[in-house]
Amino acid sequence: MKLSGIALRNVFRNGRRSLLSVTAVAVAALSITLLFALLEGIRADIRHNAWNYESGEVRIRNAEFDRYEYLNPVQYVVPDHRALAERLEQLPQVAALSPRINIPAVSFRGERQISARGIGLDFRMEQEYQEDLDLIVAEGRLPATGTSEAILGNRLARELGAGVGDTVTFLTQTRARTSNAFTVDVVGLAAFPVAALDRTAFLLPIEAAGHYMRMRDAASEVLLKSTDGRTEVLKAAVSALLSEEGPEGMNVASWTEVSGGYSYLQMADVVYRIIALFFFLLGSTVIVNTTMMTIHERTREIGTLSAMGMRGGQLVRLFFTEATYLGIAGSLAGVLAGAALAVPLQYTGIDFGAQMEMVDMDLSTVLYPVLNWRSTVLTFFYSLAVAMLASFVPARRAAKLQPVVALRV
Amino acid sequence: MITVTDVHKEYIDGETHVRALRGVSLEIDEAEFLSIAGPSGSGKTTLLNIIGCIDTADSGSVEIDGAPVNGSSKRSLVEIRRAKIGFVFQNFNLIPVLTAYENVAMALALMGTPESEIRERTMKLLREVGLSGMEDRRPAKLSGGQQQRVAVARALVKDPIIVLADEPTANLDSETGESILKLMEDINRKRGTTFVFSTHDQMVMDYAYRLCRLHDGLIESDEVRRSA
Ligand SMILES: Nc1ncnc2c1ncn2[C@@H]1O[C@H](COP(=O)(O)OP(=O)(O)OP(=O)(O)O)[C@@H](O)[C@H]1O
Ligand SMILES: [Mg+2]
Repeated sequence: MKLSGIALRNVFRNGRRSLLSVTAVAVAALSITLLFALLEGIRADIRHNAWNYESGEVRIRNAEFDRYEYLNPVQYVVPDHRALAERLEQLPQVAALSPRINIPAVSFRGERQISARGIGLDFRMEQEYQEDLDLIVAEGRLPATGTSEAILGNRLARELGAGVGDTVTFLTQTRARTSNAFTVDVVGLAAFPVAALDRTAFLLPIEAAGHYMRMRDAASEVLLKSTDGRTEVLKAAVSALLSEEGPEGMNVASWTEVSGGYSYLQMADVVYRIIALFFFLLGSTVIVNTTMMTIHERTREIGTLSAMGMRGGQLVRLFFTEATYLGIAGSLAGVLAGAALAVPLQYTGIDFGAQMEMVDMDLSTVLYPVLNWRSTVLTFFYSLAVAMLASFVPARRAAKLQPVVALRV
Repeated sequence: MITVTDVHKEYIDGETHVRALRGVSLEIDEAEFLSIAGPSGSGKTTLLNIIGCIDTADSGSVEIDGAPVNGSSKRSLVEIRRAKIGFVFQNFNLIPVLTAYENVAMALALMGTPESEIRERTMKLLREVGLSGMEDRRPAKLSGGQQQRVAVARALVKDPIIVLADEPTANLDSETGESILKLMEDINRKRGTTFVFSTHDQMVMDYAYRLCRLHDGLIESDEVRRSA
């Protein structure tokens, strides 16, 4: 009769209690699996949004702009973006790029002043840069090149009281820091994934944006994506190209350095780990309790086995193995249940719309959890390890019991 | 074979000191069938525990097979118990999740006996104690007498130099108790295994070949009752 076999039978001695322990571990593992799937979804989402609307994977800007960003110094530009784009496209590390002109704009509706942010795009290049660009069109269509058309964020359109077919006049500041007014034809409404963009952004052709801002050939920034996800390699290649051939005075930054989303992710990562730890601790208290109870209940048995010559280490192993079985069952059940819940959510998403309205963060209102197999497998092993660790301390009591004392019970 | 010399044992329970053994000396020879008798609290269990190496004396010495055990480490006491001493308890103390067969086999498994030998010896002993056909029953499915037979088999299977039985019949009706005593006597005669059992029951004392009376932690009398 092997110890492991006895331990297995002991699991079924108090089936209800064992089930309770298994459930506690399972709930912890399930919660953590879902939590990490959500975190993984947030990670993918923030990256998606940051790469498309904030920092790109790598971004070229005028160094002076970066330096005085808080003043929004639109006069600091990336000169001759067309020629630069042609050269950048030659780099093997570049998968796609997107020159952009940002327009700080306001519009008036009666007495009310509505701030907005125009983004001038080369829609042909942008289709390549954002492969799912068409998905943002909620109504109407994307603007056509060479026109004064624009597509407005849903909320912005509502604020402005404008719809498809209307015109909207914006006031902006040109590169020469003079004021200028321009009027766009609204041809579409966009459902931006990020609430903040939905409230403020409108997209228009880069030529028109350049004209309104008197940019001549310049762009505000150029966003780039790498072919292979190696951000730092891309950044180095772009930096090398700029320092060799100019233009001078540019700043190349990777999203990990400048994206607010990225630093949020770093923080979220830590917070989620701490939450996971609490779940594990909670689950482990049940294991500790169960192990303590079984040892207490079987004191006389421990005394008997000890009198028969079972060594302390073997006694500890007996109870430790029993708890390990509970841990395996709980972790497995929890991780599988978590995966079973996460997989459908991966397609349906979770709508945090109402909660996220006012959140000024580059996080989409609908989040799609992503089940990461590696972290799911890790969750299984972590919860198992926690269960084993939790049982080890009380299990050692079995060896400390004196047989005389244990037998007298 | 076992020599107990001037053993003292005192229990301290808060303010009260109980002197459970106050200088007990005893010589146990091979193949004895010895009963330790005495009223409740006289120190029977304490003495058996000390001989069985599950408790230690405060002073005095215990020698098993010529080797002193006092002062031994916890670990080597475990080794002595495993190889040399068999226990039979008042309330049987079988492992409830194990079958009759497994309960007995366990004693050999702990010694690292090979599987085939375990099987042979276990089956033989279960037959000897009259439990053929009940090998696969768990303790809950056995009567008290049958459980105690399993316990006797478990104590004997490893061929210990001594079997210590603390009031082995106290939880059995007199008839069943007597059958257990007969079984132990039989084995003692046949195998020459040394038995030491404690009791305060006259019927049980009558079975003993040698009777030691314990009173207040001292041996009051030590006599041979009947001879083999
Ligand atoms: N752990 C202990 N703590 C305190 N006193 C103890 C302890 N164990 C035994 N005693 C005391 O030591 C004395 C001898 O006890 P022991 O159990 O050896 O007696 P016994 O002869 O086996 O009695 P019984 O017939 O009731 O089993 C008793 O007075 C008992 O109360
Ligand atoms: Mg007693």
